[in-house]
Amino acid sequence: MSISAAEIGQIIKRKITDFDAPVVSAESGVITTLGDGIAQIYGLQGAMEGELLAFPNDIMGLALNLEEDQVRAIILGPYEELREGDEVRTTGRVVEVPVGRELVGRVVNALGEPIDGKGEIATKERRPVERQAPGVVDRQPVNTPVQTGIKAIDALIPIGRGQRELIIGDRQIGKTAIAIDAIINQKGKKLTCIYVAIGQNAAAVARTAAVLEEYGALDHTIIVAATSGESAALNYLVPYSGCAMGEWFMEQGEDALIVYDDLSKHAWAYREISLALRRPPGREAYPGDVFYLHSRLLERAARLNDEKGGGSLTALPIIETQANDVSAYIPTNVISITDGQIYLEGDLFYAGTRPAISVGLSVSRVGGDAMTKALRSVAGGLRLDLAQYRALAAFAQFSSDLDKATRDQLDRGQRLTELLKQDQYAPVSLALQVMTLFAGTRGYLDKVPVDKVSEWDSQFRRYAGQTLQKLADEIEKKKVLDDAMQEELGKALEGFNQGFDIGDEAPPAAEV
Amino acid sequence: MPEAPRVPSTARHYAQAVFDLAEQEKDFSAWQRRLQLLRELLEKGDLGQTLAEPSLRIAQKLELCRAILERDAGIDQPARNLLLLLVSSQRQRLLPAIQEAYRELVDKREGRVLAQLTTAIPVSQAEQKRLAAQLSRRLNVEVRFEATVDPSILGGAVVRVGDRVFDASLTARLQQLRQQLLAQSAN
Repeated sequence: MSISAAEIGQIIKRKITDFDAPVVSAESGVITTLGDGIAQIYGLQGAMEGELLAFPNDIMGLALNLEEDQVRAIILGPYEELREGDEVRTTGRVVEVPVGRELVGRVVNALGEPIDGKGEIATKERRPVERQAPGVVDRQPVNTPVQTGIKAIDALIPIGRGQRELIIGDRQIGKTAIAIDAIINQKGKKLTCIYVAIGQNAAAVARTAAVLEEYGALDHTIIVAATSGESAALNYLVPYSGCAMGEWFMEQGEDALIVYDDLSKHAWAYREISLALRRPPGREAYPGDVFYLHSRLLERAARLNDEKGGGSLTALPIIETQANDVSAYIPTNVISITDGQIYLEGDLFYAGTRPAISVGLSVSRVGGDAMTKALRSVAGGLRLDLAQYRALAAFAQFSSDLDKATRDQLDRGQRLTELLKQDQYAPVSLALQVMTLFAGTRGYLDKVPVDKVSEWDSQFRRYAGQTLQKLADEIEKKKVLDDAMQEELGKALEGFNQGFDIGDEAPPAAEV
Repeated sequence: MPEAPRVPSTARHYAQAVFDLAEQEKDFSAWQRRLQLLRELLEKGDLGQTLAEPSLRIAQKLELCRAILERDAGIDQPARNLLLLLVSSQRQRLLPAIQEAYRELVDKREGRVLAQLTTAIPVSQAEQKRLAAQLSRRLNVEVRFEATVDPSILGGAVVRVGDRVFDASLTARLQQLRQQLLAQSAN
């Protein structure tokens, strides 16, 4: 689309002749102190909490502390040009971001401006970043699953649409990977994803964008990023901006998934701002309202009732722990806000269990209702089996003579653990999850040596793709696994196992 | 543009006390004169600086003030007391702010308000009066102007009443036009 210079001239000419600006009437104040991204402003008696303030040179600020004769504001954007004595005016507006479908596939900053070099985004609507969460009467219980494509999560810690599920663990053990896999798995599933990067380095954000693009997941994803190079003010604002974009989809009656990566850095940014605003520090130097900071954000994730369109916004906040310490201030806060957590353990990760989900410590408080019937019928006892296996395995380390029942349980547990391992960027469809877990929990894997389970898994996947397509389609469509289907699947598994080369006759593995 | 005087809340407390005294005496102008005299005294010479000197003890400063006030016959007892009170708590620097806050209180009591009028070129008294009358009707108080000239606003006028600004300057209008054109190009 191109407009000729003459046309532009015409438009501008018309604009200028029609131009009618009312007299600007605003509260004004003067910057008295400036530093750390905070301006102290004398005056502004009529400023509102959270109001957008206009500084010179089109720089904007956010009024946060209203005091008797001054206002303290955080400055959004570069503040090097501002000087003491500059005039500040109120605008009567609050911070807004563009929202809408046009943002999908783009990378934007905390204010919704594009940062991916793909040009302007022609959005039609804007909405305030801070909004009240939907009330009690506007919601309905979570009852539809978000398929993450990760076997361990979908089978053990199912996530429902509208749920808030925390992903927590130390650095570099696959927290972001889980979120990215979940986003990749939503391809073609009518679930828009928003990935909010808070305080990450710009290279990491670029890498995430590249991965999503490579797996074709950017077509249903918005990336909202505030990098560590940007001011604390923008890092503080960015989750709320992303949430406003997600809420738009929810209110259109659609489903959206938002990942906050990560809220620890968000809390740091808020701590920095609060200390610079001279709010009193509390535990770990966080301000007193750091709980409210996250609770009001996560409360905006919801499943709306049918009168409101029935849309949903699912939140996957991420928290980074230091040395597995989940009892630090921010982790405990966010654990208590969310509807469950996926706990990743470094020991598991380094032992090769990837994703390194700790089955015992992870929980989904509402997702069970959202699990599909098919998956529930095969994964019902899985959680208990695995928990018992863990307890037994620890105990069995000290003795070699075990009775058969115990040995069987250990064997089963080992194979199930193997079966739940999964490569990165390789989400598994619902039907395949159901089939492999069926094999695992009904004993079709008991003859397969432990070290061959992953090979069995990949071969079976190929086999299923070729010969079990009809059954798979049926599971995907009906979301149940009835007796007839179970029988068919059982026969197919027996047939496949006969053809599968289990190598040397493996001795029943009792040692762990 | 003229810088608005900053009035910290401590200055307001002193101003309120002075105002209450003036109300009892039913003479607002007397205190206005006293505050003006004290301010001149502090600004003239280096008395203000000496009083800010941290190495001097307060007792010494008070003695110095008393000695100076003895010689200055124009300053009467209430004014002297105010100065000594301020010096004893190291707050003599608040005096201009107290004067400003006092003037605001008196203005409020009399139903008037002092507004700053900024224009690009000097305006005549008649024009100022006309503008003041218009503004008075709108704000329901008697408006007096303190006029300043600032060529950087290009044209029109900017009126400040307290914290509120009414910006009808050419720069503000150009700014708005710029924003409208930019908004147009974004869509």
